Amino acid sequence: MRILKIFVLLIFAAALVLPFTYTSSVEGQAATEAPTTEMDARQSDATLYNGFITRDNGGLGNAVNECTNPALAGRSFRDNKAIFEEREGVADGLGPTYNDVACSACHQAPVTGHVSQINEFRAADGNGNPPPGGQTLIQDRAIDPDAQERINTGLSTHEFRSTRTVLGDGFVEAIGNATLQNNVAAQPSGQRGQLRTVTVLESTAADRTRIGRFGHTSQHASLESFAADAYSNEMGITSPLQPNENNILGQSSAPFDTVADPEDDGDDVAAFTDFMRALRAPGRGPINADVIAGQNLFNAINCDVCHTPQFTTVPAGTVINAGAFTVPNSLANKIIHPFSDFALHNIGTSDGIGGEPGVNDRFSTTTIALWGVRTKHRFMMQGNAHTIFDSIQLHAGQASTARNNFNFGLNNTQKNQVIAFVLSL
Amino acid sequence: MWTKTFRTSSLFALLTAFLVLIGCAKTRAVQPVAEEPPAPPPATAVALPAPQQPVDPTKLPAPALEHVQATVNRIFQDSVTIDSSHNPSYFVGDFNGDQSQDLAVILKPVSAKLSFLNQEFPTWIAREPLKQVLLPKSKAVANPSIARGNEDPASGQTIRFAANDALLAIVHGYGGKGWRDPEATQTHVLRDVVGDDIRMLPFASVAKAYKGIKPFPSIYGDLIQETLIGQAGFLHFAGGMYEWYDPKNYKPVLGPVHSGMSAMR
Repeated sequence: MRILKIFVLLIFAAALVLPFTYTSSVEGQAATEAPTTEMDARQSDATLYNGFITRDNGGLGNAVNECTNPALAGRSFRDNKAIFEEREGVADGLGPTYNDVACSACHQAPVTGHVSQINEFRAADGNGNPPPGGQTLIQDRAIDPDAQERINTGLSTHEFRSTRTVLGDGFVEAIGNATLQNNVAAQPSGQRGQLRTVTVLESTAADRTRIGRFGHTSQHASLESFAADAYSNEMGITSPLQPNENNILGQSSAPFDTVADPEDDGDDVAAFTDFMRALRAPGRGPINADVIAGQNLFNAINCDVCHTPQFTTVPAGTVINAGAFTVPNSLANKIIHPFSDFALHNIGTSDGIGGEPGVNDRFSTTTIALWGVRTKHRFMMQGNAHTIFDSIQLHAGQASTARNNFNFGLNNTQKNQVIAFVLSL
Repeated sequence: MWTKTFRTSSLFALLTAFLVLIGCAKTRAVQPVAEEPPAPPPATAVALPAPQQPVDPTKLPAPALEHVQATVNRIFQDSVTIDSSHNPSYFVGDFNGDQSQDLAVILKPVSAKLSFLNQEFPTWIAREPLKQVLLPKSKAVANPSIARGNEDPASGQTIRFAANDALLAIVHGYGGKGWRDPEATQTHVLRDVVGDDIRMLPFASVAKAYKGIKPFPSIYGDLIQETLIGQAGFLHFAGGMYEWYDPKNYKPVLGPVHSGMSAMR
């Protein structure tokens, strides 16, 4: 009888503990690899979709045909993709100054959301200070000849900035602040990057800040803020998060602007945001023995310090973007391989445009994510290196040690393996 | 009897507790959890490393041939010699504007070591700045970069070096020791740009020297001023590469017009 009582008590104790074990297994669910795309434009656009459910409760959706089945409210991934690819006109608020007419004009190749050959042009004075009006971005186009920006005001510093991919950015958004901070804190002091704390435009919280990760200087922490910024700066279309029209080198653009602000009521920005959140990460190319050896060497010579090979996104239900977005299952607990730390480093390749708030060094730029780099043929921020080898040689400043390790620590076979690895990304 | 009651009630309690706790556990799991806000950046954890100490030229010794030779050997081994037929054959400055002293040195290839210069993976960036410049026809004829025509560079290279090449190597400095630091190995090797009266023009003097001249390129550091194919101009660091500028023939890439010198550091 006594044994029976003890047995029952033990079972009871086990029953008390078991549910808590079960509970913690939900939050600490084993992370899984994020879905990737082969970036093959010949494949269905379903191969770009990561399963994210849009704010309109839409899934993949039906193919969009502008004549018979245009993008509608209750938007699906495919509706949002069509809006991302849509060409805007003057009646939509395009301009007065702008760079191109659609998001996909720059983020197009090989698949919508990735990259293109397009660089944007920035200018500043000899100290990197912005021109009159405070905007270093010099838009390449205008809706009226008299609105065209020309840098004739002593702007002696020029810089090109190549298009960065938005593939996989939904996962990047879902990396926790602490994860990014811990990664940078573990970097050797000579290579340590600077993370920026920036404002999440759509947040209504008292503290609207988060660690930045999007853009050439990590100037945005959320895809919604990033989308609104790009809509305004690249296409000249204002929205509730970016309600003010760009000036023309300090002059008002009002005489050329016929559409009342905000030109987008926020619907387009929401569509761009949900589209980017729903994109898979760039997938790897063929992996052979040289590529595997190259990856080991890439890590051994410290390239991986800044080109961080792996992050895991936050658990499902985590509220990010200063309270503005709850991470769903499709983006949560995912292992991604962006090969960036999303921190700013001075590696001697920037022209020093724009000392932005909170940045210690105007020559610092955010580590370019190497995922998907095999689709490009111009490399580095300015697109001025034509080979991976040249790109490595251009690394200076905080990347000098890694470059020297490559140059003087590897034989030719090993150098070829490192290059083979980079071109497998 | 007591045993039966105990058994039944124990099992009932067990089942009830299990169900209640499972239910609670599920509820708790879907409670939103706020992301940790950005931690204030502790200076020792996330700040950039201290900026390089600005180079005070008066505190660095003048470049001595033995130091220059040691630097050349560090990068090129014995594949080149310093071309002492030029005066000066080397000089220093902060050509890329990173506040670390750089070395410019004129070199000649060693015939027997061309295979080293033409290796697949050199530890330098080789370029021909004059090839990027549109010169008038009369000058283009005299431009050795154009006259050389097509060549067959080694795999991984953009240039095939020949024994009679005139090379200007610019070794970028690293930290306070500049080009003398063993880590200072980033080197640009420029062919066909060794002209007459070659010298360093300090950044601070650029505005005065080229006052009123436009269009004018972006300037980040000290210049290498000289006369090439009969035209005075300079080599300057531009977006990671060195480019040639002469006021008569310069055509900006995008057509931006620069109205005056404000190229201050």
